[in-house]
Amino acid sequence: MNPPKQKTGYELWKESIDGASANPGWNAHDQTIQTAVREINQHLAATPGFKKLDWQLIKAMIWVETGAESQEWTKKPMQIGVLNDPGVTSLLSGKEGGELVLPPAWKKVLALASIRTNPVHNIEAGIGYLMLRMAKYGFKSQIITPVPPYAVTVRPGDSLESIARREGSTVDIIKQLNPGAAKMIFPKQKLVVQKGSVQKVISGWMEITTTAVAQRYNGGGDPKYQDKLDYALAAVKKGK
Amino acid sequence: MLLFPLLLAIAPAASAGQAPPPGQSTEECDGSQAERLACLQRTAARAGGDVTQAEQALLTALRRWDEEPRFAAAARQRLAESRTAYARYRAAQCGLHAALGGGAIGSALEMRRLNCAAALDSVRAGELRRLASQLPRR
Repeated sequence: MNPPKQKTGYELWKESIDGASANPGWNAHDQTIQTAVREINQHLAATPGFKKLDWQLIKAMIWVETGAESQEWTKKPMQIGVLNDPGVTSLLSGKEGGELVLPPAWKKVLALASIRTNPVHNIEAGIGYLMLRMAKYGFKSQIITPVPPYAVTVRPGDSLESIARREGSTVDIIKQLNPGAAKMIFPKQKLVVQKGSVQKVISGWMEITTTAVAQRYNGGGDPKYQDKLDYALAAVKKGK
Repeated sequence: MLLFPLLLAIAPAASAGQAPPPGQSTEECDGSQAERLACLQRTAARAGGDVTQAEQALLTALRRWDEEPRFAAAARQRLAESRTAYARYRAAQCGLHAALGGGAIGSALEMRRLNCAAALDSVRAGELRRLASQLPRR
């Protein structure tokens, strides 16, 4: 008689997922995830093409990343923030998209040390980084709203570029405020100007699927990541 | 300088299935991502230790080699050069594996690097043992 076939690591992992929904430990972060997803959905709602993030996808992600049986579950459930994690550096740098995707309240509290030790911050950082990776970016002239428009007089030799530079504005803003000046300006002409600058903006979104999460969050670190995420997501949805 | 022969030595062994190619999932490291990272760290450490043991085995075989001492000394020198070149190659190659994870989180990039290092070390250890076994003893 053949000895019973030893289960693979993947089969054992699936078994733990099969029993997860009924185990309160595996649902311990539900409220944190729901709150965080609600906050980020509100924060990003006005960006072009945004579709609400499904909190159950994030729950499935933490089941794939750690799970309640892992020692990391109470510290880094989303696994972002290991030593020298470039993802955390990008998220907190303030110039790679984190400044756009993170709600202001998160920006105030998220720090490298807390992301590594506080599960709430780790989940927020993981969600933030996922959204940073799913966003498409562009550049757009944006008016600085507290400063109202004002008039300037065109000097000899001026161009829209030189006026924009001198006044702390952009050519696009000056053109918008002075439709007739788009083609030609002349000395002593009065132009309306408003302070502004070209800024990085979210111009659209990748569709947030398990395939996209596997590619953009895991990057092939685990060739079975998408299979695992699909399996965990099905279990989460079944157990709700 | 020694990189090309080293690559030639690695390529046939890897294709013969002695170790999973870098990037391929290692069966025992197949749980959650946290488990997988810890498992790959252990696997890579074991494979690194295996290379050290295989080098020692080759040095032992060189001491017992039925050949003139000057040839054994030259072979030891080549082994030292090979070790340095291999370490540099492994760091660069596994750095490439990690870099091809793009903007993934750090633990995922580290998994790619470790998987590569374990696979390369496994091939290197096998190659060194095979070379040691081929030396005729005094």
